[in-house]
Amino acid sequence: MKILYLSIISILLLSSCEEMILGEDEKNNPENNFEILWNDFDQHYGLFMVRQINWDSLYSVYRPQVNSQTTDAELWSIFTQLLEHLDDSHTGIENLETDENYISGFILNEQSSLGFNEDLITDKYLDYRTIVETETKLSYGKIKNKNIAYIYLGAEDGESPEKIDDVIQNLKSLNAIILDVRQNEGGYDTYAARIAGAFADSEKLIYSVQTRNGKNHSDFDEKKLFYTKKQGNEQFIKPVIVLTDRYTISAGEVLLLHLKSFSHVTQIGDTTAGDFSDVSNMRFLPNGWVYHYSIMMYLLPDGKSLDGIGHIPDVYIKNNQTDIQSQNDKVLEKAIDYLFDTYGID
Amino acid sequence: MKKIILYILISAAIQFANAQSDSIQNKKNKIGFELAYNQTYLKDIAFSPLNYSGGGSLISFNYRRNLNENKSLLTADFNLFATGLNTSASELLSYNQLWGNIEIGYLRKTKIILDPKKSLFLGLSYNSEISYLNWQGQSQSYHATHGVTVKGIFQYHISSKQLVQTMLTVPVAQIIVRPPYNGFDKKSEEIFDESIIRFVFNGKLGSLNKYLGIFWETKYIIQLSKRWDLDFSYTLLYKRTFEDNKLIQLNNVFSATINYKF
Repeated sequence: MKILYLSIISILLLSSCEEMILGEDEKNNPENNFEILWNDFDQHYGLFMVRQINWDSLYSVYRPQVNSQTTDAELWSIFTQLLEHLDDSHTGIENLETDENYISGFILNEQSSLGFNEDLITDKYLDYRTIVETETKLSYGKIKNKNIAYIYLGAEDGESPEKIDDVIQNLKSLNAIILDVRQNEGGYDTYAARIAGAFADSEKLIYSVQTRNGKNHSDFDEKKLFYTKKQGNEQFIKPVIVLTDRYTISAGEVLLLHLKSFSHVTQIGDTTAGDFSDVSNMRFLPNGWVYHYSIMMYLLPDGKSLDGIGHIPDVYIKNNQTDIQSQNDKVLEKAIDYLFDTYGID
Repeated sequence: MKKIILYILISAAIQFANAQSDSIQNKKNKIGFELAYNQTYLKDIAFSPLNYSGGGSLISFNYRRNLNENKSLLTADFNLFATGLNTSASELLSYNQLWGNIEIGYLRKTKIILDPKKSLFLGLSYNSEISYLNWQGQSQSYHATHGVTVKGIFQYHISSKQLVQTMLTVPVAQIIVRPPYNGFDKKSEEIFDESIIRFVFNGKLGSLNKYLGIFWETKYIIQLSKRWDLDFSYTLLYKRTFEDNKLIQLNNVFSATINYKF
């Protein structure tokens, strides 16, 4: 019977000692919320070196602004100012209670949507547009009265990127393709690689990826190398114009890494977002806010990075809101003109 | 009211047991089905800096085989639970934990204890355990261990129909699987896509210096008939890793098991 009593006492003791076992929970006050966020970035963010951010100096600027009297609104403002220095749209913070959402360096990306209209393209510039239903945002058609194909890819996502081979089969008799990746929200790098394989002219090293794996800003795991190569039965190696804007982002930019290594591809439009890394798991703060950040470093074969820079176009041009309202897509028109001026394709 | 019903049930079971003639260990094999309430306390730094707690249900199947006239014991257990975990920070940060384990053990009765009412079994078991956390598909963490544990069972026969048993297992050599430094990432995803088995075993070998995992169970067993036993048990699970992405988990499990003997 003693054993039974001893067991019951042990059970009661062990059931009532949560804090002793787990340790004291994180305090929900402005100072601690700031410390957790700053330290988490300090220990895990992957792009301090690439984006040349002095995180310690930002601490000395923003930490003194936070005290026990700091309101939620003030803390939100301090966080967004702090994170804006990263200019990284894979970094953001969200207040789940109010649905308030902030993405670092996103203003230019967001504004670019005013310079793009799919319906305008369909109505004014295309003979027809066929939507590939299995893929998230893949469609194609033919430019009116021209021997030029048009493909729109708005995301590197869908059931089967191999569908691009069918698209190429349908368009291969035409003399050029305009591949429009404006307002491309990204997706999977593997999807981007498969799409690019339909345009590849050879196999070559195009980039490497390293993930941060230690407390120092320079701690990264081994480089993983990525190559582009021909995929599918037939590749389109006639002139290809790829159209970009500020919201060609993430896996959309990885697609550009592939495409720009091919000699028959020309980029026309605006510079891309310059955000390559994968996003971290969502992170949590004691005040209930959640946030995420970049954890990787994408490097070109020469060791340089396009993070924070983006793909700079061969021919720079962008639409503004007035252009679209006037039913003109200057970027697409420039691509058509370029194909005629450079290759005589009409 | 629940306490009164429980008291009546236990009393009835004791009365019923006393009316039977055979001993509690009258058969070689025993299969049990367990239903339990599980209370979890968790801190997983790979997932969140916050403390979480919550409750959920657990189901378990176990098998026992007495060998060599009750001088050795073969055990096999399968447990599975799903728990909703909450934090004081915000109810919007609540998430789900899935946990499962499989254990197969072999124990021998020691001769240390001469009292016929008491017996002590010592042995080894193989244990494979997996825990998975997910917050709205946007944050994930996991913890798996596979390896050898030392296991001991002490039994005290209150009467020929009633038994109190306590069991302790402590892992000694384990493959410890945790997310990489920066959480579930592209490489983890690639390994997962290639082979779930490879993913589940993609860890580091460690012992008590890297991982502490205590499984302690106290059980009251009563014989209902020649073929049926009923158990009431309390189990404590305590897990702790000592690497960068530290994890601490405590589970209190209160359960009832119905056993069929053959």
